[in-house]
Amino acid sequence: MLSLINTVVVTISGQDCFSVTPLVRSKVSASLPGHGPRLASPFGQTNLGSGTHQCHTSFILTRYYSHMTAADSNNASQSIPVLLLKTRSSPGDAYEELFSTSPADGGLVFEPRFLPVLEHRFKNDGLARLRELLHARQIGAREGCLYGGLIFTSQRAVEAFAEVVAHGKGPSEHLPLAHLPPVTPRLTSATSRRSGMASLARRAHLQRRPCHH
Amino acid sequence: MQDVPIYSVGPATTRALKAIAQQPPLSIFGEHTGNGDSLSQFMLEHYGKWYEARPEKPPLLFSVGEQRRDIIPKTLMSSELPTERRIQVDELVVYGTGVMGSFVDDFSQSLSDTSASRMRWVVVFSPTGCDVMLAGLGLLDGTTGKGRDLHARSTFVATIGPTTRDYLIRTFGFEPDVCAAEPSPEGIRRGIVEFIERWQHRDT
Repeated sequence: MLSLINTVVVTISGQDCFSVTPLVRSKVSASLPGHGPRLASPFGQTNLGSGTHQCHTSFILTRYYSHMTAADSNNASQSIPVLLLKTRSSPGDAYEELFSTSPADGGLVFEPRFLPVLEHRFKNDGLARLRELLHARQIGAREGCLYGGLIFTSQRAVEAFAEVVAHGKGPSEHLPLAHLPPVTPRLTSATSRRSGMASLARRAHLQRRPCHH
Repeated sequence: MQDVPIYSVGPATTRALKAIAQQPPLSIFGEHTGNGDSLSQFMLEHYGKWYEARPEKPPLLFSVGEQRRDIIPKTLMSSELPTERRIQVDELVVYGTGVMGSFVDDFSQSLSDTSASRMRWVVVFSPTGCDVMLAGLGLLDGTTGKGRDLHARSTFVATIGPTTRDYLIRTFGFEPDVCAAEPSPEGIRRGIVEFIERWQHRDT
């Protein structure tokens, strides 16, 4: 039976895998003496902070045993590897859950495995433009600013924005965002639209001030 | 910067924005909307009020990836809107999408790990990376995969939907074995299970 189930996919980020994998490996080996489950390369995007290793190990072991149970209950059929060409969703992946559940249809046992394909890369000219706009204080509520607001619909775009902001915080650089003095009364995402509008009216004088104030 | 509205389509994007430490914090709106269409309607109202005093609203800057939908610019710049409600949206491409460098090796390693299986499946979610997938399976060089003897095959390919299926057919002349009727885990699983049932039927 074990020969059928010889792979446990560990889903941790590339950054963490080197520190985590040996620990996980030793724990898995200690928990399953003689079985020696093989730990494959990391395939996922889950970021493990320190202190979560134990929890992750439990997850792996649970998955390992659930594979074993699934196979035990159906010795007649061989598990079918399913190579999912995608990044495993975090914290839980619906494909993994569905393909890991006990067979209900025709005794098919699947063995899901994730293979991330897509990689997102920042576009330097886009980032440069963003940097230029921020440094020139061209994103602001003052009349004359090029933009009066920003839209984000993807985490990658936010990451690009954060990258520009973070680089602007270097010691010799301008502080494109943090440099700005507080607007009073300040608006936060917790503030309702109504109070946002009210404070806008009170801030009307700001519109006569240059963007960088 | 904190005096301009920053619009975010949902909880994940909002979380990422909140992680950008600013004092005072960025003014983030739209988390509840969940999709581009709904966010567009929200922005028309909210941004309109934010700049109520201006007869012409200042443009919005939209940070996007190379591949994106155009529902937001279309809705906000619609010529059907009166001029005072219309909002110019400028898209700025800040990231692109490509094939991960590790994919070639990961894929060939996985194929080698599973080579003893009587049957295995490859599920494809996007046209990007299909060339690597087909090359890994040895199907890229003029081999179509069509009309091959099912009994002799052990590797089968499923696609998440018609876009990827059509891309495989059009670009490589490769027809996948399953195209999910709906783009979901259930759709993929059902397609695979039904195929296997038909396949086993042929055997007997």
